[in-house]
Amino acid sequence: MNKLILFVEDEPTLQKTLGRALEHEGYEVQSALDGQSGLALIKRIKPNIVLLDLILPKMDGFGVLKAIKEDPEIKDIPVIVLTNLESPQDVEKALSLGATTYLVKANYELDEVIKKVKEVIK
Amino acid sequence: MSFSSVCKKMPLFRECFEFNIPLWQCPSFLFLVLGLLNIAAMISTYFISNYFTDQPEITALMTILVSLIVFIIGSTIVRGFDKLIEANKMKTEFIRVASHQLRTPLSALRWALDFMAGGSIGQPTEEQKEYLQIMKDSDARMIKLVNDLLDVTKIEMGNLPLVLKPVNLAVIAQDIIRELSPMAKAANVSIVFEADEDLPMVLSDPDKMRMVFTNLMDNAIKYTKGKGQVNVAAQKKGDYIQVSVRDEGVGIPKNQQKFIFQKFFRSDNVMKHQTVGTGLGLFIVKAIVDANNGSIWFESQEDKGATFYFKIPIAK
Repeated sequence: MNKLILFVEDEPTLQKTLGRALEHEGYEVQSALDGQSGLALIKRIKPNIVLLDLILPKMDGFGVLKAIKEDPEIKDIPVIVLTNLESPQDVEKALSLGATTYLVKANYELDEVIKKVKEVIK
Repeated sequence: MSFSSVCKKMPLFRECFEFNIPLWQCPSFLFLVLGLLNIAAMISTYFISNYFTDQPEITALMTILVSLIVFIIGSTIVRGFDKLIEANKMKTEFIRVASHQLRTPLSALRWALDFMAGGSIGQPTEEQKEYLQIMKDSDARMIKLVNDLLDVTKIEMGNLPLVLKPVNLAVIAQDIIRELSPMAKAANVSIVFEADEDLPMVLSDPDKMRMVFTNLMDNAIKYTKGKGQVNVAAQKKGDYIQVSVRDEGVGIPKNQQKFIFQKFFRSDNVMKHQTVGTGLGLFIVKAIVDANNGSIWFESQEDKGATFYFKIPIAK
């Protein structure tokens, strides 16, 4: 069965580009446009990995991350934070909340993001 | 507990500390001082005029007049500072907007182009590939410009964030040389690297140090006309590690050397050869080196090349 990726991102263009590219790599990709529905979806579908933006409507990425790590049923799902925030405080906060990796979108090529996903999902 | 740490806790002044504004520039603090000054002026005027005249009307008039003058002058000054704060807030807002609203579509563009060029949705022809590359290069330039502007804004606000770790500068230098080698090859430039064996570590921010090397080497390659060589060296000198980046390029004219670390500055001869560039690189490089308690300088002669040196203290 294909590995399942959940992409929580409020920007449809990014969802489409990265989502499709990951589908071409053989993954099944589901997406959510805000933090709240993202969290609900994680609980329901239990993906193999979560790609999480930080600036999100309804509930921000930090809130989602915290909720994932506090729920014993989903706390082991790896989370890659994919954002354009880059202050050391944000990076530290996300990592201390339990994010596996932190990627700044603008600084990564598509191949590099896919490579990271493959590394973490393995 | 010091006076300023007490002030930091007071809600009245919190905003100023958040935006990195010193207490003596903080409008709410100045307003408080102005009030106290006004009271003092009123009382002293009352006593002084009482001493010189026994007519209460004149005493009252003098007191009101002096306090009015103090108030007008003071509030003009406070308003000026208020504008300063507003400008600072705008900069913070710019950082937020630029990092999110500008970089997000630029990232989407980059990934979409990567995806198309990758051939997953049909192999592009050679000509199409060429155009895709043009779009990718332009997008990369825009991302670089936004990143540079963000860094400049952070530097000017005095909060360039550094995450200090022990860093081996020779390892970073070799990394960047590897990254820039396709660009160097295309420009017909060879890069030679030399370093002391067992170079001691420095305490620095690795990502920011990468920016320093990238900017200096990128310039060295970019401003070499035709065939040439770039020499990069890292050595221990006393309590410092000194790095030099030498090129045989267009050099910096003597009369413009003093402006070289100013932001947006680009020398005349460089403009003749290379139009791509923002003039922000060396400004950022200097700010990073300074923030690492280091120093940066250069030697250059027009048409002969330039050597940039910087040194960073060895980690104790």
